[in-house]
Amino acid sequence: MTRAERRLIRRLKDRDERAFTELIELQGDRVFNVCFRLLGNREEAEDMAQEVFINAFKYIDSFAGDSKLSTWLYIIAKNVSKNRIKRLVVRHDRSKAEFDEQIGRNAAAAAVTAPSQPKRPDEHVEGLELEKIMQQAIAELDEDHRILIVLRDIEELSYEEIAAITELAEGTIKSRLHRARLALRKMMMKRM
Amino acid sequence: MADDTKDTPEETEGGEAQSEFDANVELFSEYYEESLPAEKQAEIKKLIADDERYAKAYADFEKTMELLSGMHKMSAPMDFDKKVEDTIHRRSDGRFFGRKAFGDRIPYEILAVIVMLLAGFIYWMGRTSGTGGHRLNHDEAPQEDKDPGEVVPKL
Repeated sequence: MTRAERRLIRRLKDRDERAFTELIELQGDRVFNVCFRLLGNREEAEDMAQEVFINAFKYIDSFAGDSKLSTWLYIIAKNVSKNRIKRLVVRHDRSKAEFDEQIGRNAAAAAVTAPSQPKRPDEHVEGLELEKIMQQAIAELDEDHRILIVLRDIEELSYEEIAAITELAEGTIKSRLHRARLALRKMMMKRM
Repeated sequence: MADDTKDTPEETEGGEAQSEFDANVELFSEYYEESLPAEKQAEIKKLIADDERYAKAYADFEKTMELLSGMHKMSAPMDFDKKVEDTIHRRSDGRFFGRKAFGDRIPYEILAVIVMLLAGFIYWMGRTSGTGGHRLNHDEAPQEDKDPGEVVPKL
């Protein structure tokens, strides 16, 4: 942990409101992105990302500083998103598979509106189409595989950080991640 | 009677080749991340280069990985921080993130500089104004009072 991060945590524990605003500026996009990829819906992702920061503000005193602050936020993001999915499944009285399918459709639709690097129009359209297919495929993965794909391949976190977030052994993460990637490959081949 | 379920030598050989293929495909993730021991890394590389089946399987795998890493990073909405602060303000019954004079976005340091500049300006105005109540002029010698006789007629 850097000295700047330690200072930020101290200010957060002192309930310094400006420190909290800094935290949102630093981590807001990453937390939102994780929630979006897990929930597949912009509005839901925004609500859950808000919950992450509200929980962080509320429980900052319980943060022992054994991990990076971002790791702690990812753990909260994973937990609130998982809880939200459970509640949404119950509320809509649907099976998990149906719900995941819906997530894929929503996320794919939302992802195509995201800004991107300037590309030729045909490349751009093709890129968006592929991203849409990929998002649907990710949504069809089971929850445990999905979180690993999001953390490792989209957020590009280290195995050490992922182990801290998921509480899984590194070997387990690697083998599950590989299975998830192969499953994605299969789904992509079918759709392309 | 012969056991029909028993594998023929060809089938056994084919099965072994398949399981060897599957076992090597299992290493694609680590190969992609270059985290295999050097010897194994080189072995998989050679298989991909020499064997069409491996080459096809790895090309598909690599394409999937490229698509994953190229996915957009979604950004939080522009007013996300304000929404979070408002929610905390509401849920804490106004204890946190209350609206302050001069707004919330002006840091105290900048406010302090503004106040000092303002104070300096007021002081300067007082010094230079012809009608300033605190005007001091040390350079000019005090004027002696005119002879009262000049202004007050002697009668």
